[in-house]
Amino acid sequence: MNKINNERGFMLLNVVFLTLITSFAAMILLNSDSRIRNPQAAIRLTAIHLANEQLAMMESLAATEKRIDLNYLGKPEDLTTINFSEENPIEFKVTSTDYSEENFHYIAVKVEWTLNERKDSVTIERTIIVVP
Amino acid sequence: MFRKKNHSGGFVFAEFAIALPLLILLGWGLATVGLKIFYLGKIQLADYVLEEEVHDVLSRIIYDARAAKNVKAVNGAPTLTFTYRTINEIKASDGALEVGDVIADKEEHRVYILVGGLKKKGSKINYKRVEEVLANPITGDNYFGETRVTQFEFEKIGEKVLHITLEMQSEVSSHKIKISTAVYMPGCESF
Repeated sequence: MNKINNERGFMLLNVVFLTLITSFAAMILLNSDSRIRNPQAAIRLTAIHLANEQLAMMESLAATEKRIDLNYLGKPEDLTTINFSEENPIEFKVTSTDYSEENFHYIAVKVEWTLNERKDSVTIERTIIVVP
Repeated sequence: MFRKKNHSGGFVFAEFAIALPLLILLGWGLATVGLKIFYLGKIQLADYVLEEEVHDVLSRIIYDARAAKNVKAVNGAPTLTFTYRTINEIKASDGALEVGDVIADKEEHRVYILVGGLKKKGSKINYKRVEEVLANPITGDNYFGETRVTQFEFEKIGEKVLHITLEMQSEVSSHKIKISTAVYMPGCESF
């Protein structure tokens, strides 16, 4: 009777170890899988360059036409990206804000996007001088 | 004694018969998971290299463009050439340094040129300070993942505004990354 009990205990231990090892392996796999499917950093980099594009256009306009235009001035096709998300193109929304002090315009360009139902944004600031 | 031995032997065999498939299954599972993790790690590194190279090239171009006096952009065989002011030119003006002025004792060029052809395997962007010297690749040759250039375009989209589009593809993951940006060049005289 004792012998049978021992055998059962051993089998149970086997199952426990097996479950632990497979769960651990599955955990690692799931973790790696989610990291590879998250292109957030690449999208942020694209957004930063888009904000710089908007600022470059605003600087040009300020130098040539002596005015600040807060509308999006870059190329329209740059408002969409498929970087690491071929199946679902991501749309960017560009908003510019002007905090003026006489000729000094403190411009903040905010680029927003939604990835995997999560909203994210990046804001780039620059001072643009408009010489009258 | 004889009977007992026989009984034990039978039990060991039965246990072995159950344990072996379980062990094989476990080994196979672990090997599959291990390989998958290794593969994902490789892809992650390759994608990281791709992202970093695109970012590095664009940062360099923006930095150089900001200070340029002349810009020459050719899209057929993608080449971007920046020329800077010399010390004498700066002295000849009112002596004050303007935004982005580069101090050089003679006329200096910085050239970004695509070598190897667009979309071709092993295509690289090379960087040179003077047109005559040997080129230096600034993309590709990375141990963690080879890359190729699939798009490298320049366009004037505003007064003194250079628009750059760079798309690269990883040879390892086949993933592509395309980034566009623009830079305003305050001291640019011809573009």
